[in-house]
Amino acid sequence: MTNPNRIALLGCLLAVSSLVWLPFLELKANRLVAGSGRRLLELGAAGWWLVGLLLLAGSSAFLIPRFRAPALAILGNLVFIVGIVLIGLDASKLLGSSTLARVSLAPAAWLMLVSSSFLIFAALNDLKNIWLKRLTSSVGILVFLVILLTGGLSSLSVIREYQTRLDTFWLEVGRHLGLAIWALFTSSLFGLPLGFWAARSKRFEGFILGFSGLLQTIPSLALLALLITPFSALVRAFPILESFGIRGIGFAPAITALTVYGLLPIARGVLNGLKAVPETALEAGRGMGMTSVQLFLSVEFPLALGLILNGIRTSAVQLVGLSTLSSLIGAGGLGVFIFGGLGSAANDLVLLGAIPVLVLAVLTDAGFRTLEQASIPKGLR
Amino acid sequence: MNRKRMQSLGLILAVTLTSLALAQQKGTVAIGSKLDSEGQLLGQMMRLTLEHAGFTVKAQIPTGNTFVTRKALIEGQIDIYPEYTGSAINNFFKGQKIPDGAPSRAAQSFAIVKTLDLKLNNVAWLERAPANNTFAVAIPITLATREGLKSLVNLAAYVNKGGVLKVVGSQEFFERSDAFPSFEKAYGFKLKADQKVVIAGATTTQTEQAAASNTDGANAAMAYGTDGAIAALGLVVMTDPKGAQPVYQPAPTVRGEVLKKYPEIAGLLNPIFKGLTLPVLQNLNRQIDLEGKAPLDVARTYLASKGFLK
Repeated sequence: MTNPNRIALLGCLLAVSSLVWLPFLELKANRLVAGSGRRLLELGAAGWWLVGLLLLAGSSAFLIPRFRAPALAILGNLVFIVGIVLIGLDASKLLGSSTLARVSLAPAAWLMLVSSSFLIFAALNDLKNIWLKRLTSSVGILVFLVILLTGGLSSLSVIREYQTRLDTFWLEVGRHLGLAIWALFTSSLFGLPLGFWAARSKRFEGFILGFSGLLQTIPSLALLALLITPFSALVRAFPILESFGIRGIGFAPAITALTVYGLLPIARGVLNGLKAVPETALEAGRGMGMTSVQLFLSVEFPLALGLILNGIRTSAVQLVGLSTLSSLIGAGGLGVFIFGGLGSAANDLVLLGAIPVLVLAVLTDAGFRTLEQASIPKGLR
Repeated sequence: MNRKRMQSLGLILAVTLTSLALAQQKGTVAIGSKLDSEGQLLGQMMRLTLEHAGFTVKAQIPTGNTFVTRKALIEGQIDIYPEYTGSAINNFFKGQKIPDGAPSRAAQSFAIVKTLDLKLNNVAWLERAPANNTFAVAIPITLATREGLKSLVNLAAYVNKGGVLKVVGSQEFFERSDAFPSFEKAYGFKLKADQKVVIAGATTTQTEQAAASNTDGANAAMAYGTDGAIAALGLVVMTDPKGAQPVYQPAPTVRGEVLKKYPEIAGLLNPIFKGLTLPVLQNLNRQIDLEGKAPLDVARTYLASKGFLK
């Protein structure tokens, strides 16, 4: 007998025990009050399907790898899909016709979703075929999106928040992205030359790292508030700036503050990248009679690119998160929901802002990782 | 240049000039607000009203916290935002002589704020709402009717004759001398330690919820006067006739230059704020905080129902 797949087994154990003992959904009399939990099996007999699937998945962890991988891939996705469907159905059943009541996910639902990803990861480890891998990792997400877009989850509290803020939600997502992208652009504009300069001059290196490190320690809220005065003065002196959208509050000071925070990872990435270029590669280049420009373009830069992109990725992910602060200076973004929700103790509104920030951060990270992979010279891959 | 081209150029010029003139006539106004839901609600009301009257409105709602929003107004980055008399009197006039007791008298504190802000900062205060969003004590309606409790005077008498009272509030509420201790001092009562339920960092929603559901035996809560949850949870606010608390009445604050240019703004906003009594604001806040409606929608429905938007 082969060893059972421990990840899959752990996931199933976690899910089954939490579904039995912990609340699956939480019902609140209204948006602000504390709610009471309901376990899956209290919500109807259909819950047994989910438990059954999990037990089946747990036992298939003992199969030989050739059968185990496809079994886990199918069962992992099934657990995820059936779980999402049950969340949607039970939530609308629990909500009934009440207009004030809210239903949100409780620990067992979250743990069930986590353990379905355990099963899928276990399957991905065993699968060899690249297309089967892609299918396994995307089917669940695609079905989830279909259920979400067709309104299958509209009884959930977060979706309710989304529906009441439909007219501003996508506007704020767009603003958030715009802020992060612009800030990444300006951070790179200053960070790349600074890093290059630091790598060239020993004396400057300490100054750059010290200075951009110092900038990172400025409390963000204080920095935002401090920027209002100079920007307002600037616009008063040059009213033409206003036609470019530059004002004392809003986009311009927000981008400035974000740039300050985005600088360090990029400068450090360039510095580390250039420093990591082996002296032997430089010698070889010089030996071939390269000028210093040629040496930079065809030896140093390609070899440093991986670490440079790594720095830009760190900065990008940070900026996606930090852009939430822009709402504190009238520049909008998803922080509007997060800080609005915190102010009125409405957790679901906080989630409406926080979940998209999380998704954006993960997507940004994945995108730049792909870029980093592609940037590695063929010979080194 | 041929004639036809001249003509079309002339036409374009004429259209541009006319549209510019029209835009000039109606004017552009930038409206901001603080981050809280009541601030956003009042900001959206101003926005809808001015838009309805033909202004071009740049809405920057929410703008930021008190500091950022006020600074944006002073620097001319926004033209109007709703502010509370209490916040103004406590924060904006450092070094100015404020008469003792004035902050807790509504009319007097409004008059002081209005005069000082116009003189010092060229900021005009329009009509205030007759609602006080300050620290208050809220108790269940059942208790209030049973014991005939309307004000803190009644509540103090009830406590002093041995009535059962247990107040739930944040640490700050019980410890800050201008919060609960100021009620005890002004009305002559003193709660024992076991009559207080202290939740560190609690919001008024949490304390109101606790008092409404009698958690830990609590039957009174720290509250803000216009909280939306008060009526929904079956609570009622004890009035503060002796003025232990500074008065926080919301009013539009407008840059002097803007009001001079468009004096009709006062006539548009004053009747709206006059109608925002404590029960009205509690009900509107309730729709935002408890029912989760967007401030803009609540503002629109309310203004339409009162005939301000036709």
